[in-house]
Amino acid sequence: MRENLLDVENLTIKYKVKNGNLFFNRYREFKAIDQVSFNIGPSETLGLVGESGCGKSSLARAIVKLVGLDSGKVTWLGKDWTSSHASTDRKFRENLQLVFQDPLASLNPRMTVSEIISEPLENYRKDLSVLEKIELVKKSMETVGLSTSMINRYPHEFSGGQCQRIGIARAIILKPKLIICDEPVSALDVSIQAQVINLLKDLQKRFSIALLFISHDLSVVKHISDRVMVLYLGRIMEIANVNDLFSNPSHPYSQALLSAIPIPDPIREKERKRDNLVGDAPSPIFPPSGCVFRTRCKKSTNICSIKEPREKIVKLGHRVACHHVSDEESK
Amino acid sequence: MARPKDEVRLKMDYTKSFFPFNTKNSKSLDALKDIEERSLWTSAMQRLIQNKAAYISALLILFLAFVCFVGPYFLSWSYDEIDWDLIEATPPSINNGHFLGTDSLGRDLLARILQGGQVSFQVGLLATMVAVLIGVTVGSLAGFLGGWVDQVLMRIVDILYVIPLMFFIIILMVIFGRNFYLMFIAIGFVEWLTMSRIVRGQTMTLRHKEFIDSARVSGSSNTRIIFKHIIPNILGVVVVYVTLTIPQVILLESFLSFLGLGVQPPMTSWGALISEGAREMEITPRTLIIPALFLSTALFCFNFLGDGLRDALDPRDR
Amino acid sequence: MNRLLEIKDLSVVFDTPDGSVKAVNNISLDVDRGECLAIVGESGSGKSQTFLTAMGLLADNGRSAGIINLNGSDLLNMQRNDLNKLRGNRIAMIFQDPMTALTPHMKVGEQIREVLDHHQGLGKKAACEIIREMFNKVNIPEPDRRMEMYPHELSGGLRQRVMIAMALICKPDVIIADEPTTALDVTVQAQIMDLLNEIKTEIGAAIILITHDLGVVAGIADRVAVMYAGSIVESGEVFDIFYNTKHPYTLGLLNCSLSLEKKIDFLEAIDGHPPNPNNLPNGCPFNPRCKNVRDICREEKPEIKIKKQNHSSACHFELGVK
Repeated sequence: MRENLLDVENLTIKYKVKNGNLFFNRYREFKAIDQVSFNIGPSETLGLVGESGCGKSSLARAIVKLVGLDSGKVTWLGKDWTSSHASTDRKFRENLQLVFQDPLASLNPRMTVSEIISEPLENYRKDLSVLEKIELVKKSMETVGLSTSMINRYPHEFSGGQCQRIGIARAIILKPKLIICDEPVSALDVSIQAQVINLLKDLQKRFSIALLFISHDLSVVKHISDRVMVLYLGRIMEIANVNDLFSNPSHPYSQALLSAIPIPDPIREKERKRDNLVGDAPSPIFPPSGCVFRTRCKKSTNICSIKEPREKIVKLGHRVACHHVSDEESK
Repeated sequence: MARPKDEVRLKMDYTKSFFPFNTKNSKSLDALKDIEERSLWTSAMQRLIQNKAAYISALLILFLAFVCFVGPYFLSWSYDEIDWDLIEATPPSINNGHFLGTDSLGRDLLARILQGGQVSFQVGLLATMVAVLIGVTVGSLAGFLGGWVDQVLMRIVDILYVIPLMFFIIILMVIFGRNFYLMFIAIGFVEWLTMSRIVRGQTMTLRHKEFIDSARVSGSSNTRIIFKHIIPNILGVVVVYVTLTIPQVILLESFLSFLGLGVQPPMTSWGALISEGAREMEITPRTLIIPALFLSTALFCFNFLGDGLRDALDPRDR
Repeated sequence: MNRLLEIKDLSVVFDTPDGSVKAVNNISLDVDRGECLAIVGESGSGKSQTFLTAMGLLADNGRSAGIINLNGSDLLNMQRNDLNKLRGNRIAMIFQDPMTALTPHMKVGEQIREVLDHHQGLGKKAACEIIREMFNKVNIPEPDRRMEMYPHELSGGLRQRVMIAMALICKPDVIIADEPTTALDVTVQAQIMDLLNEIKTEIGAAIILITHDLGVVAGIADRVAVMYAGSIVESGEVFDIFYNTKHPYTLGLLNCSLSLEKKIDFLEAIDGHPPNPNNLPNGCPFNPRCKNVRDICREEKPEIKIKKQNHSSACHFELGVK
């Protein structure tokens, strides 16, 4: 049995929104993430796909404890990380880093590149001398393809792609076991996107880091992931191997997502018949009853509005939450 | 905060030649020059110098301060010395050493202006420093920690806000006595309120920025986040506010002096001189105009400098 | 010869504290009724500036030179009043972010009615009728209720539909869509793309689609112009651009755009990053990132030349010929 790096069990995150009038504050709770379970093994890439507002970022932030979770359990490196006290959090985080979506906003504009990249060292490797830290920073910069002559510059002097490299350099300097990438390429230009994806793939191979790769772009996720998890309104719709999901998507939502992605090939793109979803995703504050996807689903029947589907195992490691998928185990 | 950074930078420069990947020495030297020029504070200085109005203002302020503090040693009259021969206000003359004439009591006007300048500058700086220290601490704590800390601190600020300013200062003066330096602190205690609100607002917007999250993920403690990430980023606003507070404090002091709560004669300040001059402006407008000129020059310069600093310190505005 | 919208030798220069910056450099484009021209380029390539200029929305520190000809009238040298009559009426724009492009404190129905009132002087009742029809056309369910809503009450997809309805309401000749789907989710993007396709065929307007997504281009465009650093580097029929690529930059873009169909281990990325417009390299602007760079590329800027019928490219070499 292989030891998982990260085990997430029945994770639920609730947010409160103000819902009252001038004189009375009423709050309405809604679940940004509802009963989500998954795991990540060593040096594996788990892709997380979903539309905006589906709770992708909340999930990432809950794993690194930037937002609190309301129920469920996160086990990190075999230890329970949910109940650990704030004072021990720092120790946990050493092996867990985050790369953010907006490359420039995630760098402190008043710090030089060397200060930014060495920040984790300042916190975790206080035994190192200034010289040793600088050497590590330079090594890290070279690894991500930044010229070390830029070490004393400020973030605003860099382009978006370079800023993202700085963010990645900071994330890898402690040699973490897992990096969570929250839409790392969606703010970048196409040609830069490819560079950063290549870089992430390369780093993962070289340092055998596990990645949780969050994106709204299925084609990016397909390129980089080993397994893919599809999220809709805070619920897992489908989780499967990358090949299973893309060649044989079982959930109607995954199928719709796949068909919505344009192909950069005019003949194929103009010939194929798209199977578009109707409407927008409902607000997570007022989710539909039963299966959350039923309002846009073509297969929707009575049961969908009554009962929330439980996850069914279609195949080993392929779970689908849909009433219309037959359970492999029950057969 | 600039100091420790410079130390690190020096060490880096020293180490540069040891690293194998910087083999091309001449090239790395060129790069070094480039880097040195681009550090935040130096580049801010450069931009400040390019801003003519701000640069000239800064020089003028320095010049005024220099004259006020050094000038009295070169004058033949001291500020509280009465020239019994010229007991009435006399016009300027070079012969008797009263370069700007005397006031109605026969005291040398220039000496009094310089002395008044000393007091005004001291009040301005000290009181503003007090305001900054309290204001930034309270504001950043309230903004960053939020929750009940924020509630308690901001309610205290609200309560202090509604107490009439003069009333507050008078109470402080009564409690602490009419100590010259205590007055600075008293004024500072009043001025920090606005400061803390500004800092709190800035901190609250910064708190939700991604780089604060990323610092936390990098394992930074709250203290480190406040000192390394929040405060350097609000420094620009603080500096601007400081340059706007100094003239405000100088004005407040002159008002207090006018009420008899500030400096006591024969000691004087620019504000006190102006109120003295105002009483006699029909007979000798000079005693009003000249100190007023000094005061308004200084106030103007501080405002220009404040604007210039704001532009220079914001690296994103380039 | 007489095309609906013709842009000839358009240059846009911005005066900045660091000197003047050439954002758009001598570009020529044209588009006709019922046709979709896609402008592809990365951020800072000048693709948006070109059409902001055409709409008379150039920033204060910008200067433009050249000819923009819409149906015989020159948009660049037009009086403000005349331009206001054209804008929204004959030429309309769809913005990337509908949330910021719609006024937040007005009901969406009112906003569209304002356009109708301004251009056609229609009364409230007649206007509402037209808006209802238009909302139906762009698939906004329950049009009467939506008209009474404020922009923030609508979802992203609906907001973009409202923007499109607003652009279409006067049946313009030219619709400029500036990254209309970038801010939307994929599933909604697919809906909007279908809608634009319908508009093209049904209304017969010319659509100019500004985008960076080659997948979107493949689905809707008839012709494509690729911009890089303020110049057009390649333009032609969509099939020529995709299957008979002439410019190395276009080829690079095609190679590094991901697709569900391709399964590759390593993406062929374009090295380096887009040049800073106030410090363009000598010669061909693409030369520092080009794989086939020769000496001449560093010295001489290639003119855009017709390589085949309706297919032109700005490269000193035929692609693939070294």
